[in-house]
Order: sequence, then structure tokens, then C-alpha cells
Amino acid sequence: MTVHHDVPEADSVLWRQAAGGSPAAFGTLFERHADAVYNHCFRRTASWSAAEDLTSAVFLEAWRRRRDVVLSSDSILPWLLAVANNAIRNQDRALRRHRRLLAKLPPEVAAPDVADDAAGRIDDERFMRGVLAAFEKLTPGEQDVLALCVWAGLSYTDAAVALGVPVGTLRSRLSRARGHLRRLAMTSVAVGPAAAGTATRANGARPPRRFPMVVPGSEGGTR
Amino acid sequence: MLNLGRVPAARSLPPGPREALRTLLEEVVSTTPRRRRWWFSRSMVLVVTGTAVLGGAAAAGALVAARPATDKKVVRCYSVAVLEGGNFAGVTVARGGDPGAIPIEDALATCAELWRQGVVVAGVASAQDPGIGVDAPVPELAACTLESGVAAVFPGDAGTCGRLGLPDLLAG
Repeated sequence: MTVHHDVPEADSVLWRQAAGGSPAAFGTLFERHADAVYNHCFRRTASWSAAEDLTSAVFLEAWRRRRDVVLSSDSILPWLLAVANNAIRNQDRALRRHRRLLAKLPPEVAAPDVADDAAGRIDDERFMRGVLAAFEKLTPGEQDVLALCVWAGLSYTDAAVALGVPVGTLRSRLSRARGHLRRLAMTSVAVGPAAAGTATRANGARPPRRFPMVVPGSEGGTR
Repeated sequence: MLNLGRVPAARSLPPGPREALRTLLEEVVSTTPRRRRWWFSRSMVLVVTGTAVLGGAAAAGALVAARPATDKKVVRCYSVAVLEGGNFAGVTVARGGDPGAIPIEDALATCAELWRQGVVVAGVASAQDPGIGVDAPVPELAACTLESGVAAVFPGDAGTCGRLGLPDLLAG
């Protein structure tokens, strides 16, 4: 008996079809990478709501700039994350540019069965605000390289493509970021629910914690 | 302990917004006017790819240093600087529809653009699909004139035409 496996279309194939006018191909690319973009935007903003708006703006912007696409390792994700970085940095402009289309999206409606999920998202945001308090002491370039290599898990090559720099430059930027973090680690950083906000968990508030900073080592960026 | 490598677990874009955004994106794609490829927009089409008979272009008799193209309907973009056996590896660009001629002074630019788009690839006999966003390296190119009067652009330096027994392409 012959077993046929469905092989997913490569990003390059889908992108070519999408740029040629295939809505289904663009929809498939969206489904494939929406969550990665969404989570990247969340980690940079500590807001799931902002991440949702930015994800919309990123894909609309990706379509607008479809002739500038650079694929890395046959994936469009690094380029999408680069678009996301720009959108995050110029959030107002990114959202303003696509406001006419974004206005077509229905307003957010909270469903009753996602109450637990909502509480978890609030916790996420509080925790992430604490992380960003330390993270934002880095330079924008250092933030980008850490977010891509450590949080998004891109390889050095993919991150270099996303940032439009040679791999050597990316490595040295990452090295500088680690050095910067080590210097920052000389002082401990308070993070946690109490340090970052006042909202409480649905199942009871955690006590505030005080954490020493750990400098990301070789995790990420080695694929 | 604060570990910058430890962040909240990834979540999925909620189903409602996800569906709405996908629908919006598909609508945007389907309603965006399609831009024609550059050679169509200039009323040009690729008409011959792969192997073709040259008709003994290499067997040019008395060699002159430079000659203008007399057949201005087409330009040949070679993927290798070879004329052996009368075979043609590369792409022929011709004007389609309009009776006008390709501006021969653009032969180098025309072929350079095809290299850049990945349509002409070194050593590959036939045209490749142009890649979206491809910005392939363009080698040094030399423009010559075939015996048939057609402009031919080869990868190579300024001495390429001479080595192939062809005159340089003379604008005019």
C-alpha cells in the first residue's frame, strides 16, 4: 500500500502564489506565522491587545511591502519579525497607516468561557512588564537581537536576515548585548506581580519576588 | 530568578480576531490590482528559452571590433560565455505585440535585470521563474553582436566578445 503524506508548501512557493494574487496562499502564510508574530509583538509590548493590533498591522504591511520580501532558509518568518520590529518601534504610525482596513475588523468581544484565559493573560502582561523593565535598558539594536535570537528562537542567519546585517555583525551585537546585561546584572532587578502592576490573579495574588538577572547564554540562535 | 530567556508561554491569536484578520487579508489580496511583470509592462515577452540553433553565429568571418545590432527585435541573454556547437544557453527577450524595436542600448540593462531577478542563472540553459524579491548578483556582462545582427549579452569581461570571435555591440 502506498501512503501519501501531505507535504506543506514551502513559504517561497506560497509567497510567490500570494504575490501573484492568491488570497488562499496568503491566508495559509498568515495561519502559519500569525502566532509567532503575535507572541513576538506581545514580548515587545507586554500587551496582548497591542500584540493583536500589531499582528494585523504587520501582515497588512507585509502585503504592502511584498516586493521587498527576503526569505531566509525558505522561511518568511524572519522578514515578518523584522516588519514587526519596525511596527513596534513606530506603533502609532504603523496602525495609522492601515487604520482604514483595521477599522473593518470587529471590536474585541470577551466570551464568558475565556475568563480563565483572560486571567492568565493579565498575569502574562504583568510578568512581561517586569521583564521589559530590564530589557528596555538595552539599546534598541541589542533589544532586537535578543528578541529575535532568544525569544523568537531564530538562528543567527535568520536573525541577521531579519535585521539586514551580516552574521558577523549580529554576533558582535549579541555579544555586546550579553556584556551589557552582565553589567546590569550587577544590580538585582525586582520583577513579579507586585513590582510590575497592581492587578491580582483570579486564584490569589503571588507575593512579590526579587530576582537576580540571568544573562541569556547560548540558548537560541544556534540552529 | 529573572531570566530574559524565560518569558510567558506562547499563546495563540484568539479564534475570533484570527478569523476576522484572515478574512480581511484575503480580501486585501484579492482586491489588489495585479502589477504586470516588468517585461510585460514594457510590451516585451520572453519568447525563446533554452536551447536554440544559432545558425553558425560563431563562424563569423572577418572580425570587426564593434558592430551595431541590425535585428533590433530581440536581445539574447546568455547564461554562459560559450558559443560552441551552435547551442544557445540562456534567454531571448523579444518585443511582443508592438512592432517597435527594443532599444539596443538597453541590451546590457535588460539582461542585467533578468540576472537580478533570477530568470537567467549561470550555466542554466533555460529561463527560471523570477523569484519574488530576488536580488541575485549580476555578474560582469559583455554585449556583443551576433553574425545574425542580434545583440547578445554574455557573462564576462570586456574581452569576452573578442574571445568568442564576435564584435562588441556598437550602439546605434
